[in-house]
Amino acid sequence: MKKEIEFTINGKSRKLTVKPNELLLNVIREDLGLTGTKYGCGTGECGACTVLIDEEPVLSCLTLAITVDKKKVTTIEGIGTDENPHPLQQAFVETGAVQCGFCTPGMILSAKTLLDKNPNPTEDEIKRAIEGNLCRCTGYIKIIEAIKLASVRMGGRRK
Amino acid sequence: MLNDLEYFEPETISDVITFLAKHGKDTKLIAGGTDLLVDMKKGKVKPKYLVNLMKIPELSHIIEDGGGLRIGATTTFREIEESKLIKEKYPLLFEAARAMGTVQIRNMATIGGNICNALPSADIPPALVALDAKAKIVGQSGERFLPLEEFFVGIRKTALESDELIREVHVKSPPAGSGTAFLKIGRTASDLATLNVAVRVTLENNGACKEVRVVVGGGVGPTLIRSKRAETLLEGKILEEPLIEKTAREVSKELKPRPTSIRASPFYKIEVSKVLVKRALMKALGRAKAGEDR
Ligand SMILES: Cc1cc2nc3c(=O)[nH]c(=O)nc-3n(C[C@H](O)[C@H](O)[C@H](O)COP(=O)(O)OP(=O)(O)OC[C@H]3O[C@@H](n4cnc5c(N)ncnc54)[C@H](O)[C@@H]3O)c2cc1C
Ligand code: FES
Ligand code: FES
Repeated sequence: MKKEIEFTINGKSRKLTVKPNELLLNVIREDLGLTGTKYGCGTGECGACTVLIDEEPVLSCLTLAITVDKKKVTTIEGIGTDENPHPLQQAFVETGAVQCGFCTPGMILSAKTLLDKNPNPTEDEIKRAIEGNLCRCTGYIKIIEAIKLASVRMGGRRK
Repeated sequence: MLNDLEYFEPETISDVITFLAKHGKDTKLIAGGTDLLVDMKKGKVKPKYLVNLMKIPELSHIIEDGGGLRIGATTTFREIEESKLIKEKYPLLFEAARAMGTVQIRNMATIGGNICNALPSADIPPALVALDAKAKIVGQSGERFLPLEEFFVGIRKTALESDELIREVHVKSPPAGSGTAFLKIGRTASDLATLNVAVRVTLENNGACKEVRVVVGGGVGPTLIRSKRAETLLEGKILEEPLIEKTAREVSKELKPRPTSIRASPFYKIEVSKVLVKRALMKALGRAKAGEDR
């Protein structure tokens, strides 16, 4: 029983036919070719598969694709480009907050939601916002620095 | 991966009930999917039909009503955590919701799913039991209310029939003179509780304890445990630290952690419970005295 769904992906409307047991993560990576979203644990623990649905971070490994009908999905590809990166992407690069990079897309999407709602977060608020994104490389310190830097550049934080 | 299945997206509760009456045994309801999809990925459950509850407007709300609160079954933990009403008037629910999962999980996970999955380590049930909450259950034969502690009948077993679902949770507002606290120990930020404790202390005008609830979860039995000993020992008394400490020791005797629990040994859970229950009682008492919770 396939079903056609229509949803917005990174600002563009898309129609797709999906089976009801297909996961959003697979549809994003395989059908849409957007491989910025990563497959880590598949069980909700690591946050590598984080995407935004209607501007809120959720886990695409535990979301059925069929349920995003009429919703707005944003992946890391939707917030900036190589030529014109999002201030968070720029800050992550400059600060050394990216090592292997596997956690980065999810980490940045979680941070983006935080800064969109709360332009001047405390360190504790930053830590809580990224509690669902595991990083095995950086030790988090650089990531927190990058989020603070982006917050300054986005006009939220006094230096 | 996930088994083949048929998917339905009803817009009303009565459509769900009609479907369940026909196909209840082969159907799984899905809300946030954070428990169900993990189980399906592991092949533990293979439903023929999946019925999504998230598109039913009448299931999602937080409403203040006649001295209490009605929380719709598909209300997410994030919605609970961010509700001003809950933070101000039901801080116990705020604390329990905030202690649950990660931002992403709280955006997806629902209160109904947390209750219906019936893990003895779930976070919101102890808080709800400490506030004498009831589940509003609907099915083919109409609706019924069940005190939440009676809803849990075993590990992942509930009092729901195959044609029933939880529609709402009703919570009484804590009586004047109440203080509450929720404490949790877990291995990581996102982990299920190794142990969790929800406490409500309600004081008389003269300072004596009028009513108390001490509810312990975290795999200390097939369901959470509402401590009767704590109620007997504390109600009617002036609460002071030595009595609270003694009570915490007594509560620990009611716990029956499984030796096979993966998160901690029975010995650890029992020892830690003494500390956690004492701390939660002291915190709730302090708040009751300060008139913080109402
Ligand atoms: C990484 C991770 C971390 C987690 N951390 C925690 C934690 O810290 N604390 C905690 O308590 N839990 C935790 N959980 C477990 C889970 O997120 C919660 O139990 C959640 O509340 C389940 O809700 P859901 O809406 O996702 O349920 P679903 O997975 O959609 O459903 C769960 C079960 O309930 C049934 N159901 C759902 N709604 C209803 C209804 N209204 N009526 C009848 N049946 C219904 C479904 O059929 C299914 O059997 C975690 C899970 C993951 C993956
Ligand atoms: S892959 Fe989704 S949380 Fe790990
Ligand atoms: S940079 Fe490697 S996991 Fe975070």
